[in-house]
Amino acid sequence: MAEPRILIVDDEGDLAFTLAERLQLRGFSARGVTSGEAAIEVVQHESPDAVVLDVKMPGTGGLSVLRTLKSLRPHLPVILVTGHGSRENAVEGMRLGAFRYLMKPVQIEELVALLHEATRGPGGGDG
Amino acid sequence: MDDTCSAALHEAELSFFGAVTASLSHQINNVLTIISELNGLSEDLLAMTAAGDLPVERLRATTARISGNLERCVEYLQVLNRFSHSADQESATCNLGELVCLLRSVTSRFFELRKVNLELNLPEREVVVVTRPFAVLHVLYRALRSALAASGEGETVRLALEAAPEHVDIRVSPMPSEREIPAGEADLASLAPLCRCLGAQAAFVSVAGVSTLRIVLPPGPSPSAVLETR
Repeated sequence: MAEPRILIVDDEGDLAFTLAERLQLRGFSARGVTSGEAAIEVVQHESPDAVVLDVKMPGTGGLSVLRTLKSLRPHLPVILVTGHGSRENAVEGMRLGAFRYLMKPVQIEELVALLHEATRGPGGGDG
Repeated sequence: MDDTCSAALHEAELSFFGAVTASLSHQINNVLTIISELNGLSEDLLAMTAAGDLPVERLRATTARISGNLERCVEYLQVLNRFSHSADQESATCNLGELVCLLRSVTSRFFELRKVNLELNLPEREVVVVTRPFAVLHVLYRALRSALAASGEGETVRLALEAAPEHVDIRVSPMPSEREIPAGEADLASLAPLCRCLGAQAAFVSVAGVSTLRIVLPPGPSPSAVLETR
């Protein structure tokens, strides 16, 4: 079975790239990008199986990116990551079709379990 | 100032303090999250690597990234500390340039989120005044938030500080026209009581066709006086 392809989107590059490295060590094919625009580009051309998306980002904010991703691939599982101050946005994200949301700091094993669940379902890899 | 006005000012100051500390603590939380992930990565590398086969370069790179983020965290904490202390001084001798730089630090995230630049134009000489630093920060913060609201992605907000012999001239641009000012942002009516606390005056002026907020801190022994430029 191929490694699930995970896209991590966070304007903090150190966070996106480190999470990607940790997921790679756990058997995922993961990569990080630092803007919503880059995420949309990747989803259009590389068809990841799931996306981990920061809610609060400069420019195109996380919820706006979520709307675009859902319009491109309605069944793509998107896991939102948010700080305590943005919990309302995460709830709004669930209404927009997010798979689940996690609070920062993310527990890696919790994220791994969620990603397995997300990529096993009908949405993962529908691109 | 009557009780109603005083209560409104107190509420506005509390709101300003809350917005800034929430923003700074969010930044600190972000960096701590990164440090936590980098620490986790180090543990992963150690746990997943057979003894005697340590990925030394990868671990070295990870610890360097931890160090860089620790420095960022310390910087944010210092800014938060300086900002918090500005609120416990009724009157203090302040370097206005330093106060403006502190303001840039506390508002940086607001500008980053909107992808708007902030350009400071400060005199080479220090401008030292006796004033209530928190009130100065509050007035300028409100002005910057309005300028930010009037600016689009990639545009620049400008804050200029000039010391004249008998007053200090602060200009913030671009300002939205009166009818375009979003609810809750600074207009002259809401800035006026804040400026009165400083003994300052505020007016919208047009500079080279750009709507600009001009704040004049007057001379005088109290509450805000230009002591010297050096």
